[in-house]
Amino acid sequence: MATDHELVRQVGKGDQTAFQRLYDRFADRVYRYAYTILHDRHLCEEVAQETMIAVWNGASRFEGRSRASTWIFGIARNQAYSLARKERRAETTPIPVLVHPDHAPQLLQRERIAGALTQLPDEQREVVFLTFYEGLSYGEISRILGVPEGTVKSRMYHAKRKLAEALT
Amino acid sequence: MNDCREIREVIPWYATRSLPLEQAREVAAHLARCDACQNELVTILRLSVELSESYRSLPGLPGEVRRRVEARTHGKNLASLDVGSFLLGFSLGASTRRGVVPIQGDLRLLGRRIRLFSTGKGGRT
Repeated sequence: MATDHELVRQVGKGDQTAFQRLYDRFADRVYRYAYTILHDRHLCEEVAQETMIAVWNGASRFEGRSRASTWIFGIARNQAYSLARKERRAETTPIPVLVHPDHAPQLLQRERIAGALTQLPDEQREVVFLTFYEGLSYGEISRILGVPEGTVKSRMYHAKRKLAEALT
Repeated sequence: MNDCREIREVIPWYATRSLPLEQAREVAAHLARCDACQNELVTILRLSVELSESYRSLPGLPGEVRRRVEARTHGKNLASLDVGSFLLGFSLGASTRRGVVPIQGDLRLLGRRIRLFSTGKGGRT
């Protein structure tokens, strides 16, 4: 199976099949990442769409100095903040959580955590998403966000304190 | 990296297995002798599970976004037909690119897209 890096290289040469595979791997993840910043479904769709088009257009210039995922999430972040500035709709709204009646106690806790998540500042929520959903290292997150590694750790420190309260 | 403050700073990445190996070894050695940091790890692991589930429960990206992306990367969309659901379905699309009209058919199975056929040679527009 081709790595993300190899797929980006192939996309850079105009390989549409490689682009389809890259889309399958990243479009939905980018969409979910956009939720940490925008919270509006249509805007998040636009972020996913514009990010993947930017990947197609920019793949030939990808130098491979960072991981492909770092590059793609970096593009997504720029798209999301650019849209947020344009739309001025970056207020926090609850992230929807699926409800299953057979697991009510767990769901109550999940809803508490989701609620706590929406109360976090965007920059902390991004770090939480990229760490726990994407499994990225703090070094990779610092490159995506364009901040020092110490800042990533500090944002996580404050976020986890608030989230852990929702666990009790 | 030996004191609890430094260890707790990186425990979220230890829990998600994204720490560099050497640093992960240091954390593991500290955890073996520190009950307080072990408790912190348990809390983070619980959080990790709940957060992953929360993010996973978000609705997925609609299929129409793919068609819009394809129209702007592979050519202009002329017509498309989509039957079935996100889990099982079939789509047929025709587009125009540099004077040719490629036609593509895809099977959608459990959220994955499998190309069945495609006429017209691929290439950057």
